[in-house]
Amino acid sequence: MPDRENVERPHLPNDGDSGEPKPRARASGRLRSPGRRSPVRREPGKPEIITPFSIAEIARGFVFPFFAIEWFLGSKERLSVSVNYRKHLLLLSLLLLLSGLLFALPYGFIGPVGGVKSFWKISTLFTGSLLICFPCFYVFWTYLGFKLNLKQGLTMALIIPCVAGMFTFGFAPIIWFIDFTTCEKSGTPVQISFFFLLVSLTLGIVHMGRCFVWDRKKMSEVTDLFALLWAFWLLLLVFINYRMAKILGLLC
Amino acid sequence: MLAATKLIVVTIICSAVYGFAVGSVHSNLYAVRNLIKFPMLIFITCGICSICYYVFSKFITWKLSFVDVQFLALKTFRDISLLLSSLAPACFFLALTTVKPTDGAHMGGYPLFLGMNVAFIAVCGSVTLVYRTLALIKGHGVSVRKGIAVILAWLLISLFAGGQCAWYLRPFYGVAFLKGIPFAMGKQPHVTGATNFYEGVWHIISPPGKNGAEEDTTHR
Repeated sequence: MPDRENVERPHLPNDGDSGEPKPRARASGRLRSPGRRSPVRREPGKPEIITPFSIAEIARGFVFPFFAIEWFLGSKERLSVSVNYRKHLLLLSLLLLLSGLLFALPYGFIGPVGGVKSFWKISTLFTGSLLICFPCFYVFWTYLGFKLNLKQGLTMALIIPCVAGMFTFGFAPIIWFIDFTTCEKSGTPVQISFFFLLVSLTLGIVHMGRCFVWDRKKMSEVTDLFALLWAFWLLLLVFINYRMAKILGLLC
Repeated sequence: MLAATKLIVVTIICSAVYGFAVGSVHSNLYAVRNLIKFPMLIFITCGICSICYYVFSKFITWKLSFVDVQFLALKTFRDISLLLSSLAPACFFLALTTVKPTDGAHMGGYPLFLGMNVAFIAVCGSVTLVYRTLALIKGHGVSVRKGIAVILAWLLISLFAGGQCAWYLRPFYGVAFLKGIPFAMGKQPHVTGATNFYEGVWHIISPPGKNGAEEDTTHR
């Protein structure tokens, strides 16, 4: 692992994954899907390079949303680099927004609250709450001297509903099964659904944090006051989500 | 494709064999039912958790594709079925030689049989998890920390969904004096009043009070 200071940016920190990709896949010469490509580009004798998402990749994400899971969950480094280098941010944020809305639909559709008619509620819950809290997020960051423009801020913030939506996509079959196999009178599926939504939101926040923490230069700007306000903003976001869930009838 | 078919076939056979051995503690009817119910339990759990396995593995490491994840999950279930099926002769022998319970007060050798099966499943599950974690680390170049995290996440998801699946398909074995039990109890409430796996676990942690029990009895 090269020394961080001597590496030309963007570069990859040690994310704990050591070892080469599977030799079997390499030996067979099989064409890898874009999602399986390592976020790290290794060239002999040169530092590891992380490339931002290309416009073709983002466009492919619009056509095949499943790739969005591979890219946004599996390549936090590239996401972070794309935000730092302001590469295709408008398209990227649009893809994040659409992915967040789309992946949350199945959970709303088959979830235990409201039935089929409530298919839009989970998408609204995560994305709506985030958009309500976004002005506060952006103003705080700018006020505290973070060099982040509106598009960068929006892209970073949209990671939360997008990742949360992806997790609800994973939980959707499970909650459907629990709802299907439980007595109608029981309130357990709704409680479990609430738990799943909470886990999804938490992991969305964690993922956004991981994208943020990845860039040490940005981390060096973090002060105690910023950390405090960041915690406040997260609390606000969680509370707004809770209130939104109540309004949408997801907790009853 | 062939590898996947082989995995599925081996899992079905092995889980059915173990299910048969376990069910024979009650009756031949239970044993035969378990030939279907055990593979059903495994494949329903695997099916409903498949996307969740993938999303969590992507969250932890980028190195596993969707196909990798499904294969690894299937292999984990195959391994545990295989290990359990190797214990099936012993289990079958125990089932045949266990002193049958006559009523609720005289349980005979049934608690021992139950305890031994819990131990069998715990041992086989632990061995599989360790082995699969090592395979994940070596075969896919995932770090130790992330390999453990992926396997633990899958374990938790499987327990969460598989528990409810097992609840719905219950009983897999039981005391022989209970007659007229359907193929699957489904949504029917348990003796404690629990209507699903999670309530069942909660009732073990915090047993329902006298009033609650009375209400449940009335409800049933």
